Amino acid sequence: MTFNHVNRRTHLYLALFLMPWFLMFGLSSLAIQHRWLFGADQPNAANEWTKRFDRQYDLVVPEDVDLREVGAKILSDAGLSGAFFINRAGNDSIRVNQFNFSSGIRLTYNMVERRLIAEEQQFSFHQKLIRMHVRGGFEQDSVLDDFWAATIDLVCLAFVLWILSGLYMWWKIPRTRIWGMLTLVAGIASFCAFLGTL
Amino acid sequence: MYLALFLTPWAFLYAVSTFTMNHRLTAAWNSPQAAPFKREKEIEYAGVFSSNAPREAVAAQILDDLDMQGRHNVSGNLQSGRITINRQGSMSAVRLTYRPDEQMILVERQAFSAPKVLERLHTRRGYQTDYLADDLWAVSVDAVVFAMGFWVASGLWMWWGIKGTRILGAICIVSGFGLFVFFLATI
Repeated sequence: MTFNHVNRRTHLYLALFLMPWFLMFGLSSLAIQHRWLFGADQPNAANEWTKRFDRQYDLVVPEDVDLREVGAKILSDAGLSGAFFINRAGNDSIRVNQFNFSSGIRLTYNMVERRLIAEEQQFSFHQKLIRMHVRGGFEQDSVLDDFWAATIDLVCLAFVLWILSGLYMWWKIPRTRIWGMLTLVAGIASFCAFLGTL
Repeated sequence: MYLALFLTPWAFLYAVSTFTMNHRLTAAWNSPQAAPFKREKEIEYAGVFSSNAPREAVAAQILDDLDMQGRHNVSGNLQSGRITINRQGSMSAVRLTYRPDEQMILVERQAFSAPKVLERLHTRRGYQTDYLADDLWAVSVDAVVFAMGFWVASGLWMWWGIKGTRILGAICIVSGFGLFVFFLATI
């Protein structure tokens, strides 16, 4: 088995395995760049938040506390779990956004009024695509979330491998070298021109 | 192949920037302390605007006069005595603070930060400004999206043409889709 053979097979099988992520990033980039294609520039009932509950809630939140611990506690007390982001919304409130790929729940805890409000949103197809595109990072507690983030790293690594293995395969076809070199140089020059003018 | 060779810089950009964002390197390395704005100069600016001129028009005129046209956002207004323009270049961000009463503009440039540059290029969307360079960049991003679809289709076609790889290739496709669907259902 030659290096050339290993290179080709790695290029191929990695691409076949990661095809769903490849398609997802392509389609979601289209959704970000051309919202109108997905009807996202029109008012959409699916984007509205529906109140799930509004109840008294009492939790002391010190200024220097780790907000993720607070978020986990609020979610747990509300009977919820899963990935979330948390932030302070002004001086009086804390907002926890729990989400998956299909829907999201927004919990707003008003520390002055001692009230916890939960609102739910069902994501449209456009929103689901964007959620997939932007989801990543290793800060969630769930192992599966870390696993998803690891697959994103794998996609990044795969991109670099495809570039390197693709360059190697191109160089192994002597008759394409001149046109290939011109194309490569034109691409790099265009990219540099963008860096200089944007 | 030629499409891939031309788009190599974009593929490399998106791979590296996605990696840095996945590890939240941009957030850590680009806090205000990590990439502060530093005073570059202060210049006299004798622009004349009507008192009710919209800030967008003032910002566009200032950028035009300073030969700094390009994507930006603007806050403040003439009535408040201060207009702040954030010119978002690809390699660096420049903040211009215009004080009409003093007819001065303070120019501050953000310190260079590689993750910030990567993030700016990664998140740069197109067709949102009046600038040709921005639209051309958006066209190049569309070309990358088109290429991704084309590579999937042509890759499948080439794989099917190599009979010796069909079984293992099919296993890769099925396991990849299986894992992806598993993620969609569980996280």
